[in-house]
Amino acid sequence: MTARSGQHESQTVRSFLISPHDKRKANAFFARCLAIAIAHLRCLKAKSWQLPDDQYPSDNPIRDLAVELLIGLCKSRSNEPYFRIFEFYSREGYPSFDDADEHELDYLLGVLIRSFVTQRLSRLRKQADPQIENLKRRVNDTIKASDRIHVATAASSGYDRIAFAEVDMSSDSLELWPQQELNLIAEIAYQDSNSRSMWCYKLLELVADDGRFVSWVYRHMMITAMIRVSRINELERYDLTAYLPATEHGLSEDQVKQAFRDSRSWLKESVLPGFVGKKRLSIDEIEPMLKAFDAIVADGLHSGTIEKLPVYFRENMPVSTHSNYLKKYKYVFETAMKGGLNHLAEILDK
Amino acid sequence: MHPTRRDIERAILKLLPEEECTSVLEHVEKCEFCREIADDFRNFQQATPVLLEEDLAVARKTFDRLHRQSTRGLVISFTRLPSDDYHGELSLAADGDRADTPQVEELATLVSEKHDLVLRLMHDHSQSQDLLELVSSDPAVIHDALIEAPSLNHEFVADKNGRVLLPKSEKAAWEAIDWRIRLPEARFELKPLEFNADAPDSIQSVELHSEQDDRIRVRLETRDSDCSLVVEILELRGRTELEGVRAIVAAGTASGSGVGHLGVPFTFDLPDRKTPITIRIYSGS
Repeated sequence: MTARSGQHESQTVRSFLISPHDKRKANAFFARCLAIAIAHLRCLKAKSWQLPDDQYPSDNPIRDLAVELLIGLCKSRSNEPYFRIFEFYSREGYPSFDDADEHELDYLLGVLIRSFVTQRLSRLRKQADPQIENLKRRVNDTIKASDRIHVATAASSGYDRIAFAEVDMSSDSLELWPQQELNLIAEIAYQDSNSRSMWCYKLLELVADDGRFVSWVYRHMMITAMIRVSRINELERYDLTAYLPATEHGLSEDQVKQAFRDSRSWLKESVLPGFVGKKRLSIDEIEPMLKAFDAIVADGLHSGTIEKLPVYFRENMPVSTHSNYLKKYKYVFETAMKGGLNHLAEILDK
Repeated sequence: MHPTRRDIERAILKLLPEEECTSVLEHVEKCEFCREIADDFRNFQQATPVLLEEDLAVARKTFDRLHRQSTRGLVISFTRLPSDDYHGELSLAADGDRADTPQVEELATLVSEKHDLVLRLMHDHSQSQDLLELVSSDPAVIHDALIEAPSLNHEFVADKNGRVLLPKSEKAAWEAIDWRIRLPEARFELKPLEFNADAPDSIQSVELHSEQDDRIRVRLETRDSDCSLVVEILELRGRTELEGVRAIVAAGTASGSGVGHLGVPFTFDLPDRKTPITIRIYSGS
């Protein structure tokens, strides 16, 4: 396959999206979906996923499994043909397809199929995931090979404590790190690292500098946090640069302030109440969320750069919410902040 | 800060502006995490197969099912082609003389580009007969479509060639009215009847279900040489109360239709016992 999908494949997707009821176009589209699903299943198998392909007693069980999975993806509802496909493209900003870039549409189809197939099969994933095993091994190797990192086994529990060599691990005046808080720290450290060993160091630096809890962590808790972050980031990552309002707009300060007020109101009146309605957020949490937005915009406008989102979360949201960041707030917080910044950028771009 | 997975993949596909591609790919080179994502995506690209005809043959039945599900109950309107597109020129004989008026003259051509459909309204001079022809690359559409003239409250079922002979008794301006087609909500098929010589008079009843919560009860009543089929629609899309539901039964060249409520049986006389029977259910207008 060439770098881009072939012209023909790209046209296939766009033609179908424009005329989904045309059978010839639909058949060509299904064939494209099938090829993508097969490719993804092959990749999962290569990563030691246990696929239920042994349930298909044919000479090509992966193909048959792919066909079976596509039935779920290409379903239609009353007056909503292929609703999963069209809902996805709509979320991606494509209410229509006449002027859409066909290569982008084809790429997005791959995104959709890979995530759908992965989601459907995730419960079948092999317990001993080789990527996770690899992560554990690399973290342990880093700890073992480092002169700076010190390991001490706790006499009471038998668990390994990890810290920088200069840290006094016998001092117990502070609380132990709660797992949720460690997850948050691991996420922040991940964003600043470009290798697993650097990730370990950054994490331990944050642990040592935090001051709220002890300056060391249990090895198993640290690895658990890293695995959790790794799994989340395997699927998606923060993407803030795209939302940063450009500073070279040549707009007056008043215009920028007005745009900021508009986007803040939009967030307050249209976005956050929606999360409250869905019980994803309490009414009391609206104000701190808006403060976080203010801080992000202020940083973006004044310095042109912003910190990682968990930093703003920690600085503005009540301490009681911190331990639930990954589990409960990550999605809501990220969605709201990115949505507000996007809205602001749109106003400024007009 | 790492680029998003999508940005890495888009950079590989060169879907991002050149500068962004360069910057993302430079980061990928020096970042262990992002390099793994890039490798994953490249492996995925390389694993994409060129499908063989035998793979497609296996999947065809599923494709058909998905397509039929998507067109369930679909109503398709047509756009009239300007008359110049089909009337303008008469064919000329080789010597340059004007040819005879063709036996079949096209009165109007209606199209639905999105659905790859053409509906031709014609007049057969030899039979003094107006006729419709539905043209589609998908034979299932021709077989299943109910052709409607809503302003005249008429509906027609095409023969296997997609043709309909319009009633001569009505001097309607067929070419001036709007046409549309309606695809079935549900479709059931029955195998040809087996004649039981020991029991020439018999009643057989069966309940048929679709995957989309449709349910009908079919009763075959044979008496001497007569055979009738009683169809009762019990459920459509999981609903048991609907008005104006129509059923069309086709067996060989014969077809019959009935309009009514769910739960009220329609009776059809079956002239031909040896062909498969298709029952199509259409919702009200």
